[in-house]
Amino acid sequence: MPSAREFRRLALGRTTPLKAPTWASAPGQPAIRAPQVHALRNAVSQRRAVGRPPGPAGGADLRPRVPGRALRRGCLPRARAFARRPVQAAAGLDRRRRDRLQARVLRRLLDAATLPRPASSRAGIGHRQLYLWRHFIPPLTGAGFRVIVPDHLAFGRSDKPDDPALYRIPRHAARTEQLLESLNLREATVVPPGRLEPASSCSRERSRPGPTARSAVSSPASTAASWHFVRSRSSSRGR
Amino acid sequence: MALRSKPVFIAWAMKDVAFLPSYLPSYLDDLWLADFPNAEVLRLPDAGRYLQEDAHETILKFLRQ
Repeated sequence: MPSAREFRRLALGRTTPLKAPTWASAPGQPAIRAPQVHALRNAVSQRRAVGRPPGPAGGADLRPRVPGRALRRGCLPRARAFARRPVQAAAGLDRRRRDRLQARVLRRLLDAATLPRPASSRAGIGHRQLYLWRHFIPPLTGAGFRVIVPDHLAFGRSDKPDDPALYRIPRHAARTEQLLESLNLREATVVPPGRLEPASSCSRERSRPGPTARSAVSSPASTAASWHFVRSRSSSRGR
Repeated sequence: MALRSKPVFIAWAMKDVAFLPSYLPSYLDDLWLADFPNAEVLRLPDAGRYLQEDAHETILKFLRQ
């Protein structure tokens, strides 16, 4: 079986070497790179896009048909278990293993986001959400901000598991909290385009106030559902 | 709620085909401004659904502050 990189090259006819993604960068800040995770995600994405018969409803069948090498080794199940129950999954691990597993989960949630790319480079992958922010990232990094663009579950090339419970707002909020905590952000400005970050910010502030310095909301109507959820949770807890 | 003490900036596209300006009272006034009365609201008269495309320069000014 070809490796993930070979699979991508064969499927797309690419001959140029692939670059590892950079998830976070700013002048003077170290970039986060994970070629292994990138290769794994490429393998999953390409197997979704290439050589896959249409699903029963006429759409693409998103289930991986042939698991890649990293998947067979059990990397993905462990990461998924950690994403589902991070506290319980990390309970029996030593600090080094827990940090490595957490980093793996978080890296799977992120996407190569710091460089603007033409739409054609994303063709077939369909990552419109990130493409929308291409006008924001370079000016902000140029102004000295550290810009991090999470690729949430089911967005872009992130995993698209079948379990609907994984897509519930508390899960999204928990994963975003992990991201903020792992990066030790103290002056974060949350700019949500969708429906996740208000819940994440609020949940984070309830447990440990401080890191979210401010919030900016665009398209607030689409975030209303999550904000209703936050309000109901807060009122039920007497806050 | 601790988040209420944080600065909040809201951008609303007035030409959004999905969320029309007529929705403003129910969403903006009754929901967001009820919880964040000091939020800074920016109405973008020429921006459509993809306000990141149509009004990125305007929004960037606020994010840089």
